[in-house]
Amino acid sequence: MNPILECYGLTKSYNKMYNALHNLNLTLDRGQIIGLLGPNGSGKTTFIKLLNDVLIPTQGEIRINGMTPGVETKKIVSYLPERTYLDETMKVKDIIQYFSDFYDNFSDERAYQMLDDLQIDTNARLKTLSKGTKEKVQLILVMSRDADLYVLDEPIGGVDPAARDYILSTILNNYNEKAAILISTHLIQDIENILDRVLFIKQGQLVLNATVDEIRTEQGKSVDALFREVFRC
Amino acid sequence: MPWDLDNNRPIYIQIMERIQLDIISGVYKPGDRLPSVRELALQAAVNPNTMQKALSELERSGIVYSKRTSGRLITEDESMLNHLKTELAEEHIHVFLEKMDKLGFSKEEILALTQEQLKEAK
Amino acid sequence: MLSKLIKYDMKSLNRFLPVLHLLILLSSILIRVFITGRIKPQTSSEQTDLLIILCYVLYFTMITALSTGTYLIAGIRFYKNMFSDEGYLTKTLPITNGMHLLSKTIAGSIWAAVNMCFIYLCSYIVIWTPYIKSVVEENKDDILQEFGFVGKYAHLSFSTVFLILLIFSCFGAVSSIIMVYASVALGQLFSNHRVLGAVVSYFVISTLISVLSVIVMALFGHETRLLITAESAGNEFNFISYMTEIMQISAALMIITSVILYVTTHCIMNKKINLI
Repeated sequence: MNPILECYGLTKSYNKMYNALHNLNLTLDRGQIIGLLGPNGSGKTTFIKLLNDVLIPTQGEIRINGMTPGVETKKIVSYLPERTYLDETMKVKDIIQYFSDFYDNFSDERAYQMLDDLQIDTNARLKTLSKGTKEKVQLILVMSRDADLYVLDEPIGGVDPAARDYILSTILNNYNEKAAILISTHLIQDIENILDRVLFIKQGQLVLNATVDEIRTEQGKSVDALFREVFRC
Repeated sequence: MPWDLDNNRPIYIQIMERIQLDIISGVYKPGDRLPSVRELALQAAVNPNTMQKALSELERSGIVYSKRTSGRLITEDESMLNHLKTELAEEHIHVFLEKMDKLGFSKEEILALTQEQLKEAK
Repeated sequence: MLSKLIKYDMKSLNRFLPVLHLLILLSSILIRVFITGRIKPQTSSEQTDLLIILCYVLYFTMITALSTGTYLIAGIRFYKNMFSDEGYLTKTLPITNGMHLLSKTIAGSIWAAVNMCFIYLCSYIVIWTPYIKSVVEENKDDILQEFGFVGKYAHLSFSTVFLILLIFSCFGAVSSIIMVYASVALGQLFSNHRVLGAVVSYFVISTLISVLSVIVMALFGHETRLLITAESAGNEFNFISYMTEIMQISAALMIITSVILYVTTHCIMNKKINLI
């Protein structure tokens, strides 16, 4: 099978002075949960936006399942942005219908099950929900798809610890051999145990690409400890 | 409830230890079937691949074995279980002795103290 | 897929526009019932004349506001749905930009056309009172003569002319929608002032189109100056034939500019959009 994601010389600059992402080369295989780690402003979100075709690369190429980002890749990539992107006037059940209308691999049943687990009222309008609840709804929508690549930008940043556990178990539940899950976060400790691999991004460049076991065996420390070392201010 | 795992050692090794302990202490009985990788991974809140690796290692050591249709079973080989039990006990004692040594106790003192504690515990 | 998109695009426009239109319709009915419907020749005085003028001014302001509101809302929905936070969802649906633009153009056009029909309907309600109607009926022949319904235009009825005008206006409405979307898209190129950029683009585009149409009209010998001289020249000038020609030229111009603007919007959406 193709690697799920390949990047060659990927560069993005917002202005001529500086590159938010600089010459990034990377290949990721399926069947992994990958942590994309880096301090604020290191280029994590830029990278993720490029994968999802909401930014256009300045240079370089991206291949998702062998294809450049476009309609075909959007069918197999499930993306959770770091912001709320839902039309706030819609009801929860409307937005489920919306996803179900446009994504063939969306499971209504799974979505309703998760909403029920988290006791979210499907008749509520999104604007009446708290910020944390909105984030949960978005995550549910994203995880209710049978995608090949899940791209989650800060999925646990704004929710309480109990919901965090639920979210992590949802992510684990969704794990399968043909899919890869890419999670960006700076809450490393919370997700370290569910990761196969971590990518460290520093000033738009990839500075580490290793499995969690490699890091622990070779360095004798946790990813969190290594992160603090690499990115010491 | 996620398992309590420490930060510095590879996760799969800690999972192996945890499952071994569960077997010795009788949470899983000889001949019992282990939950699936997915279930165990969820229980422990760890990556399924890591769980898979831990189980494969356990399988290599012989303490669990896989049957094509029914997943992974705990060995019924009592001698192997006893052996594992002793091995774990030795490990714990080893650690204990090392710590006592650091505290500056001689072997005789350690023995005496231990016996005293054991008496009290009864 | 397109029909689903249109369904959702219509839904988002339907939140504001029906209320706005019904409000205007209601006001028109009120104006008709309480003011214009009461005009009789014998009640005419300076005061009532002033009132009537005021009321027409009010009415036209209302209609202008309604149209502006319709285009503004269509533009805002286009902006929000494609280029704001919502764009993160819209842009990551497995749908091409071309399809999004087409759907939004269709949904916007439907409303622009509805808006145009409402304007005609409201004008009919406000202006076409029994009194006005009787006056027009009485002097029908003179009016027809005056507007040039003679010769080959003699068989045209009022309703035909009205229908042609309506269709032409609806086309105009569609091209305005396309222009609004193009302005929004162009605004995206001003990375730090996207909304301001859109507004500026709108005025630039409309100025360019006006200049262009003046030039084209001149090329076809229809400078505005001609209208006056022709009128003073008297009989030879035929209003209808003049209008027909003007309408043909502006229709052609409208189609060309709309196509250019549509393609531009599409290119920008494909190549230049970086959501922030």
